[in-house]
Amino acid sequence: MTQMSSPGLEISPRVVFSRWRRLPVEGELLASVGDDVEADDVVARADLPGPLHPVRAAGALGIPRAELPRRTVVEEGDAVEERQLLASSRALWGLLRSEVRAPMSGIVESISDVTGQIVLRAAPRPIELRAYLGGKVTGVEPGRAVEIETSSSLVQGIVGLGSETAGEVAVLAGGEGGTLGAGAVRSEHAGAVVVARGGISAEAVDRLREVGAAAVVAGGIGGDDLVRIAGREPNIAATGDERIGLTLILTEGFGDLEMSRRAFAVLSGLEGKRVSACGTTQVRAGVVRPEVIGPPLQGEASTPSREAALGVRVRVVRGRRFGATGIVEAIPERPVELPTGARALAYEVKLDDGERTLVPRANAELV
Amino acid sequence: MRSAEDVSVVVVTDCGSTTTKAILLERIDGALRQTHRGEAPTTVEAPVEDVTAGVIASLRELSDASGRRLIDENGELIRPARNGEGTDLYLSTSSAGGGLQMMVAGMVARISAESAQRAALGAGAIVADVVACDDERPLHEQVERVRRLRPDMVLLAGGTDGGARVGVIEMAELLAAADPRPRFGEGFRLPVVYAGNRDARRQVANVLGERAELFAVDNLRPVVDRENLDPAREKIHDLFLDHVMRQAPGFSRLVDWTDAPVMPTPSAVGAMLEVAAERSRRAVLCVDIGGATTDVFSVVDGVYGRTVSANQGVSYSAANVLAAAGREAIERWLPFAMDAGALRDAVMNKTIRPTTIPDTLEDLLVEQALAREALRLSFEQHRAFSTGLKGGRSDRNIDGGLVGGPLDRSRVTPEKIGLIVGSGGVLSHAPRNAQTAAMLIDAFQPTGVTRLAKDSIFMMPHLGVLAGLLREEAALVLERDCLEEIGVCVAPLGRVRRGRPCLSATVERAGGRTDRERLSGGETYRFPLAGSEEALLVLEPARGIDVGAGRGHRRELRVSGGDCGVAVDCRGRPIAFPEDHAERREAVARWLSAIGAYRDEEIGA
Repeated sequence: MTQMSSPGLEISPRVVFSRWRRLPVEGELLASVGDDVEADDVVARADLPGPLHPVRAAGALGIPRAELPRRTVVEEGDAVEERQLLASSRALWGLLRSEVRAPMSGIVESISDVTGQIVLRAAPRPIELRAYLGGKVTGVEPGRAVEIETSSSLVQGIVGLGSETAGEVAVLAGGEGGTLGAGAVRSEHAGAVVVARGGISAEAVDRLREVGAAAVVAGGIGGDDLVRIAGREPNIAATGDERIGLTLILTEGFGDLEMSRRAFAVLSGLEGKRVSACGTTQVRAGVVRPEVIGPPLQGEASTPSREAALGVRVRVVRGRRFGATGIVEAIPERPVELPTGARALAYEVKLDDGERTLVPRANAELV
Repeated sequence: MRSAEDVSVVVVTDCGSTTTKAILLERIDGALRQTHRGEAPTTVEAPVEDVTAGVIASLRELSDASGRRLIDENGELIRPARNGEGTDLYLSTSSAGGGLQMMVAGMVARISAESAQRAALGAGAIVADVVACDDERPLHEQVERVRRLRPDMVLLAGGTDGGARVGVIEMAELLAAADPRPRFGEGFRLPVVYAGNRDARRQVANVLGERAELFAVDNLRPVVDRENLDPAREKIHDLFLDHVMRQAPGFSRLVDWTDAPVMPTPSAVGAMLEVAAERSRRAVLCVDIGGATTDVFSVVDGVYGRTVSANQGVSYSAANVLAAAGREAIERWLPFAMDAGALRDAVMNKTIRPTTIPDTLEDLLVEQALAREALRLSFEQHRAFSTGLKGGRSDRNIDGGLVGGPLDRSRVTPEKIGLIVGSGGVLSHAPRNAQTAAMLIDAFQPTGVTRLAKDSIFMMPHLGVLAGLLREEAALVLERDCLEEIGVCVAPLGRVRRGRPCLSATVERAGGRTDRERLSGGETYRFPLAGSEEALLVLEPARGIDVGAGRGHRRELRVSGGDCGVAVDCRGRPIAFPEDHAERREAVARWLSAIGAYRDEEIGA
């Protein structure tokens, strides 16, 4: 039985934190400790190894595998072009010639006299790593990573799709709630990080993709709509690799859900400002939440409570009163019986609309 | 083996992926009994990154619960047990950090790769991927996949001794080219266990020697018709401890504390299940359904098998279950109509907020419906995997291709199962045991007469590692303190036709009270019978109906009950649902009410 409530998502107009920015492979760092960086600065670069492509050369030539090294005209480490001759053999007293040519450009990785394969590696792909945050470099791992300390605004969502992106914040439909349709999207939303206070429809997302928006941040979306947008059932427990034409971040979850007041206050405060956004989500084994990070705003920096106590604000994250917020008035020591017949630890909460209700601790997010 | 008389107090922990659970066993009237338990969050991940912190926290909880001080001022375990303090033995199991994650490579997917998968699963691993020469994926895709994975170790197999070598060497070259990095221990070489053709050992070593830490063991498929999994399983165990666990944060300290090797949690469960099956002389099925994965264990015909359905679970994997089973499969278990979109939203919201709990009946019914499908899919996978060996002469058609569907040849068939044990939150912590019974019956659809039990605390791993030292004692604790009998399920096989006479069941209790019920096809009934009560169960099936003694043959046996008593299920196998949605919902409501899972007013029955 859980004793702890869910720690709330980080939502703050101004918070100081550090983040490591890592290359996937060894490369070159372009920033040093003490450097000031902007979010769009390139702080590191590397060459990502190309994919491997084994060629069953001995089989293609019709020769014993052990003979392959004698028949190759290239060596391990050689660069080859597409269609370049790799190996050849002659049969029928030299009358018939067989050839194996490179299916693509690359480097000869290995030539095996056991398996009869020639393994080619495609040309490396250069990658650049953005800072993603504005701040100061406070640490480095040579060739691999930089640590950046930042004072930024931060809004974490509950689930997202798609990876890192950046753009200017634009608030759709004047900040009204309700589910947003395609009519609210305009061509000037190209490249923007669009914010919708309420839910968003699949049609609106389609239109945003058409105009080339960088990202959309909304309260919620219907699960069926998400499947339609993704073109398949996405694994929402671990995301970030999806290519759906933009980055999608939900602050509340699935259904027609309105963004929390706190999240909307920070995001609307960023209107017109350039932010970084990332939809990557991992629900377990090292929780990762999607996020929007922008320049620091005025207003009280706040972090969610870590301990439940009388007077602490909570938000209901499941059930009939999903999204409602209120104050903890009592914390019964013993488990209470729920309508399901199960017994669980709960809070007595006075919601902001005046209703008093029992909320299982597991269903209360500390805010 | 440790002498039982020397041991009066035992403490065992299981370091799960989210929670570390500790149990205390004390000798009372000459026998070890489980007396107290404690738990604390597992602390492998940041910010703590030391598993022993969570262990100590769980032991402090155990101390608070029991009044027995276990940790001294220096944070060390107090040993031996003396003056109401300390313990004589400390043991542990672990699936923390996701447990042992392996990659398996073989020559032929349904021969060497499948045997290798069985070896890895039997050693307690989660198999992240299986690659083979006859994989449908192009080679470069397999290589990319291998490179992206970060397994704890790799098991490579292929070729009978004295037989083909090229394929397994090809797989070794693929591994070398992909150069997978181990999950823990940046800078360490990945352990690779080679259990293929012994004649290829030298060449495999030439290919992999510098890229990996290579260990060669006896071929796990020395000839096509025989498996020899133990050498590979044992090596995986040893490497798990030496190479994997010691790299994971804090594990080397934990390993030094324990009085026996730390076992992977699923291996310990399997060990205990084998003991249970041996003692009861019945085939046993055990399931542990978690938030992300479902483990299914069985001991059937004396053979132990384990599968891990890595995408079937009721919280983190809830959306995967919906995707795999389909909406209709989940909806069919609900006694009410639910908007299709609302069902998907509910399941997806559970996935992204996995620790929330249902607080309405509707929510609970949806979660239990999802659990049924997760269990059903996991059992299908388990049955498909628990088959006879493929590849021998009798398995091939005239062109040499493999024949036979997996479920046709499965060793694990419902009619053989005498006991089903359920574990995992949705089963163990269901508000009523009858709900647990309903989920087990609906998911596994047992036939004949089958006992149902649950392991509420999930003590099986603890007892499994104890069984390695004190086998008989562990078995007694299992029976007395671990397993809670829920009841008995009676379900006939044969042509069960809706509305036609199916079965007459009589329960003759010790005190003389006798209940009798005649059931038609499609009906269900529950005889109340307490767990402490024994009765004579008499089954008289209609013609063509089999209750385990042959078609139309009467059967008598002694049974004890549980909260669910004796549940008679004449819905047929597979369970036949009415086609009309409204009729189906009414039938589901009647079934849930009949078994005592829900009251009529709760579900409108």
